[in-house]
Amino acid sequence: MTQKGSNMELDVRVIPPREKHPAIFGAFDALGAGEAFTLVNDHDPFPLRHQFDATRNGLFDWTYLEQGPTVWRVQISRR
Amino acid sequence: MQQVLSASADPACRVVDLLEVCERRGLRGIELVSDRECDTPRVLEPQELAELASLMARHGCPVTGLYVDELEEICNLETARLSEAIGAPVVAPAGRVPLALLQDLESLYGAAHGQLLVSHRTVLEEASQLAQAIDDGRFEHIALAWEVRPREENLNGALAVLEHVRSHLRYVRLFGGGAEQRQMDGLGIGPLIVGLSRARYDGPLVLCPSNAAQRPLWSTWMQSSKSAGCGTAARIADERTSKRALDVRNVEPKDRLAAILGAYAELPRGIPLELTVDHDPSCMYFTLEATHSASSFSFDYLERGPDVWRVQVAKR
Repeated sequence: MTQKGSNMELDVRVIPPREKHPAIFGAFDALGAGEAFTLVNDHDPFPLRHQFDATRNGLFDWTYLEQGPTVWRVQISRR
Repeated sequence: MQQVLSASADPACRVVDLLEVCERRGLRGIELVSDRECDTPRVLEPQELAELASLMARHGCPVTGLYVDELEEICNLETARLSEAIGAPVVAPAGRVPLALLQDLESLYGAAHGQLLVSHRTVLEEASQLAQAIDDGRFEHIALAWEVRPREENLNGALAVLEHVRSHLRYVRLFGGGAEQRQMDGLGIGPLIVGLSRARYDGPLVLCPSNAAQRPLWSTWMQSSKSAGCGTAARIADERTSKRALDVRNVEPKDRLAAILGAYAELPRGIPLELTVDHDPSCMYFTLEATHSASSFSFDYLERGPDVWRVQVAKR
């Protein structure tokens, strides 16, 4: 049931706060052009989006797949 | 990967209460545990357990496994039949299942149309021996589960273990996360989750307390999920110095943003807010910059880790 072979899901809900953003940026930086992963979290990760805007401006696309109330899913793809 | 709650999180909790916890916490399944403390699977007949499983599935919270840790019970045809009845595997620790018994268990679980997952620790030798035995025996009714204990094990070897077991791995039990998420910094959970994602692991991630001493913490976590509001629980306003402080280290990560933005919204111009966090709050800087203008606030680091970050924020 893999639609795009490259799309992986990264559920960060169990990751300790200090390790979360490094894990997410690490996963993003490892993507090839056109690849994506789905971020799963227990709150709206919009501060992360602002951090993406500031540090990886123009390199990514951000699409909400699920917006609460308990789980948020965002597809983050590399342009 | 679906996050699932193990009934071992609170053995006294009834299944209906566990369902409610899962709904509040966005968890998508429950692991039943057959031991002296969690007696639900033992007191129920297979038919009743099957009905319970179907009720749970209707709530969007299916049984993902039945954890059994006594050899006699693992090897019992009735247990294998329970697996078929609930439509989920029996999970049993490798320490209880001699390798020499695997062939018999394959036949037993096959006859019952059930599935047995043998769970290894983060120990390469144990994991690779089991994976090899499953390959050699071409087992169809036995696969692997992984019990990850970040507080007791060194997870540096976790990715090597993952590589050996990947094709047979159906289940991961994490002794942590949930109520203990914030306490497990630097124990290897971040790299492990990234590794599982990269390996396209899409089975359950079962959250269990790391030991009995953590259970009160889990009970509190299971009973509450609502935010304390805009930092009310954590905010201290010191009238004498006109300083405000907000320490979010004891606020759940999901509630931190509302706490910080709430405190910022209420902040009078010229009064500094001292923010204490257990990670670099640079994402808050970028959020304020994006939602307010960069010239409308100051954001000065007072302490930069490695355990505690403190910044002073003020409106200009």
